[in-house]
Amino acid sequence: MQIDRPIAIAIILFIILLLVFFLVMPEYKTFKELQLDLGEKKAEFNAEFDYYAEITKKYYELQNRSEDLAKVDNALPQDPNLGKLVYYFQKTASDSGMIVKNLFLSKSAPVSSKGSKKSINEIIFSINVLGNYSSLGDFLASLEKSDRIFEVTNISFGSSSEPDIVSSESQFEIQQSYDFNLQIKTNSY
Amino acid sequence: MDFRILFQLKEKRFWWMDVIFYFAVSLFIATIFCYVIFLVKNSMQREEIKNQIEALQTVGTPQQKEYEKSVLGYQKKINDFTDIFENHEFASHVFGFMQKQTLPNIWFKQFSLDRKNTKVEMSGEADSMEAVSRQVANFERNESVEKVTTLNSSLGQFAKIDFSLSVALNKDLFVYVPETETDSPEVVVIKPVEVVSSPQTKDRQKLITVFDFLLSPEVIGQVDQVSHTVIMDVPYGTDLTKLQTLIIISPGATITPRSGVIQNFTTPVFYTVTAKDGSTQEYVVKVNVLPEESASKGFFKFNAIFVAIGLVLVMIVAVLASFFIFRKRLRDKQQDIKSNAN
Repeated sequence: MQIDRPIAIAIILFIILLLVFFLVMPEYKTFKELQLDLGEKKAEFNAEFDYYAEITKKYYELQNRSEDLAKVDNALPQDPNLGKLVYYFQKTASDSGMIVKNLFLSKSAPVSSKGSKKSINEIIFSINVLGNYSSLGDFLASLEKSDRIFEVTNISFGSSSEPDIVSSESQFEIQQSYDFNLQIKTNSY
Repeated sequence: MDFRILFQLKEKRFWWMDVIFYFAVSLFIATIFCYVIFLVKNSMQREEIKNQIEALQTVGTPQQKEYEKSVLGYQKKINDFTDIFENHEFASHVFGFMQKQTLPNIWFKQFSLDRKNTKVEMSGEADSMEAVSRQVANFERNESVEKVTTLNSSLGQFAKIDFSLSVALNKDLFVYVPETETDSPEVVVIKPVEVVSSPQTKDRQKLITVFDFLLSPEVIGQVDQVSHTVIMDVPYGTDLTKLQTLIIISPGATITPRSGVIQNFTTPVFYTVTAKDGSTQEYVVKVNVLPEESASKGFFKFNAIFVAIGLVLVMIVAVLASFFIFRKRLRDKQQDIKSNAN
């Protein structure tokens, strides 16, 4: 069979063009994309591997600081532990020479912490205690030295007794009892 | 227009027509061959990606995942603790301040501290107006007092002076200062723990995953995520003063200088990747020029696929050309035999 050369050449070149545009080029593009994808996957694998190596290292570093971590755990406990808190206020007040007359939970609500999705609970207690200035100072100092973070947000007191202004002592040095109203804030998860 | 040439092409046989024809045929075969090679290569790469994904799933033993949970838990807790502690204020300082600043002949009946507004409201009695004025002046002189906002005084019972005043305190009075405050409580300050960004927490990701030079052949860099270094091995003779980059980074992150920008790499170049959360990571890109031999070796390594295609193309052309020459000689001989017979 005699082949018509010019027509055959034209047809072949046309088919080649079609093959290049519709088969070879898309496959080449896929090839390049896969090459990049593979590079990314390899980098991801390396990053993940390094990440876990770093995590293990940090874990052991944390284990070496278990005392500090226990303090953090105490400062920000997982549960509010309201029973323990009431006992703590009662005990600290009595150790400082004060009497707790009233104590009630005025607020327990989550507050969003900076850069964190999980919220922290804010617990506010209102306490009415009876004692002198020196006892109040001790009570406040005990709260601030505590492992758990306490913040006194409001303090007020009133005195109905007549002052002894003739005395040269400062009011803060006289052993007279007052009713102190305190608002104490603490946090938990 | 003379169309005879077209008829001549159809009727007559030209040797160069055969050459073009066989070349076209060989090109056609090479195109199909290319397609097949890319198909095979893509399939191999897909398989490799699949293996890489499977390998990725195996990274991190159950124990390491437990460590991760524990470390991330503590990271959050320490950060929260630091946040609370930094904003923690000490109300007891106000009482210390009041003890020091109150004059002996002043008696407070009412006292109220509003820590949020750093304001103290007081009312009481003094034995004279002079005592009240000295007390107010004492507050005003003090650095811890911003200002006295209200002041009322009146003559009360038994010739005593009733007064009330509001004092706005300086916020620094509530701040914990360990060096100067001897009465301050003992507190433990723990620095926040900085842990590497979890691949899951996308906002913190700031990785360079791919770093390429858009050369021919393309040069793919080796990214070291520990030392944050990118090593590029370029062929011998590459102009390092004008190299165009192709950089792929973590989703959502940005990089400076940007990908695609032409840079001078004669000295190490620093790239800064900024994550979504604003944290940054610096990478240094170092370029090594390969020796002449290695360069050609690298070239063939990177372009093995194209070299293979080229060789096959040449072989096909050679085979077809030999066939064409052999057939032409055969025809010439046949014609000679015919003419001799005639």
